[in-house]
Amino acid sequence: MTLIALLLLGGWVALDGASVGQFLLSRPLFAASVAGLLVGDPLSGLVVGLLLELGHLAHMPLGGAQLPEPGPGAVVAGAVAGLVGGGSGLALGFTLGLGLSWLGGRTVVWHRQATANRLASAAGAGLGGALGAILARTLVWDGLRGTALVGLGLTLLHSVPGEGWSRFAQGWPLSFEFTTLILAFAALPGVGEVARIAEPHSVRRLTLFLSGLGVGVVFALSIGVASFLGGAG
Amino acid sequence: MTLARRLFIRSFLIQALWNPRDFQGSGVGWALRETPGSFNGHPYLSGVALGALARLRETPGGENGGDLDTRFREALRAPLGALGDALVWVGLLPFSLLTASLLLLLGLPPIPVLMALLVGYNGVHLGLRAWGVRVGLRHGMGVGVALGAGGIHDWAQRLRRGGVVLAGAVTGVLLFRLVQYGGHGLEVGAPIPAELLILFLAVPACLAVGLLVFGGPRACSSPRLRQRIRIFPLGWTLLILWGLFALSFVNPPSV
Repeated sequence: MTLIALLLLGGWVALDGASVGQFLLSRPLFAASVAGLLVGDPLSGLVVGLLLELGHLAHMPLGGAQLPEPGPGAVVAGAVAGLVGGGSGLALGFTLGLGLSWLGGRTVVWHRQATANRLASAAGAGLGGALGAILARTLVWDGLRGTALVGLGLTLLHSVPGEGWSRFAQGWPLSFEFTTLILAFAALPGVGEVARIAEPHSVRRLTLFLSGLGVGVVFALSIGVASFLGGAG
Repeated sequence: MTLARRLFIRSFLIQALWNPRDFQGSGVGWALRETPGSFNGHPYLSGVALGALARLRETPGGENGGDLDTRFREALRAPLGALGDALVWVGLLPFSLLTASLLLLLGLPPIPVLMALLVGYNGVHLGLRAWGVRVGLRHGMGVGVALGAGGIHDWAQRLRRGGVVLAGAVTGVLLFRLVQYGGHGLEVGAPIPAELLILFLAVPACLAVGLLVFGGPRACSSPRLRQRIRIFPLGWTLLILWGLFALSFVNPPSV
């Protein structure tokens, strides 16, 4: 049942990524959290989703740029982080999520080329009322594409027997909290790139960023940090 | 169903037919129930194009595929794309996601944070789509003037600058925690000092952030170079982490 739910979630986030509405549900923060919830470990899903979100923030579809597709990869990442557990699950989910988002980006290019071919062959016979049918077919293929990506990720996970994963989890050399922090730093340059794109004027960018940095430190001192970073919160 | 409502609902699906041949053109054609022509713009502001083109059909000479139609599509394409990119992709989206990320890093409860993010972001999103259809239908070919007067540029700038402050705040929270780990010997889990891991893993990432944020207009002006600066810490960290794992897997610590 969980497997079916994850596959359906993969299809839905692939559609939400571009074809249907773009309601934010395909962002890693949501997709991985829901996947974590489905496998019974929402915290691991949330944390890996947050890490992937920081890494993907700089991927803005400006001027029709070809980008990685974070949604289905994040579903796999959330499920893997939850199923394997601990710092090892987090690192494995993060790595798989990044790899599948790159692959997802490639499949989006193929999918759009296939849409162009479908439209071109229909145009030869007079496009007219065929657009609705092509749209329906395109939506089905896009959903199946997301489902297939999630299926691929979960197949990789299930190709290792259960005892292999428990040995794997025991062998991970870092605590969950420190793994989270280190991976957050690895993803942080994406946040720096967002600042650079958002404010082209370098002096103003520096001033705004440093003000924010001060605010962040004051917040962390006065409020504390999340439990997944080793805080008491 | 009124025309405005039909266009509003169909605007959610026009991106589904996006293709490298006519971009959003087939989606727009499907939404307007006419033969598609080339068009592109921001999906959230597609309602502006749909409304304006529907209004154009009532104008003499504004029939689908005509000279006026082609020139109007061309004229609308760049401003809609640029405005949507500045407002949504560079403004609203990073601002919303960085706000949620900051609140989660500070330990606020995830469910209310995620729900507020979803409701707040989509409130603006749906409002933009509905506003777009209304403005397009009302102004038709004069929609460009209406877009300029809508105050969108100011909002885009506020959101973008807010996003830079939030990017700094997220970095500040993570730096604070990193200093705590390095300075107070918090539990890392490995028989390796936290300082060493921080030096080899977090410091390169901090340098990359510094280079991207503080680099002047000439430094890292090429997007390809910036992409490499962004990806290097990611690859380096994963390489070291999986290397450490392989070592401890091959040679498990004695209990």
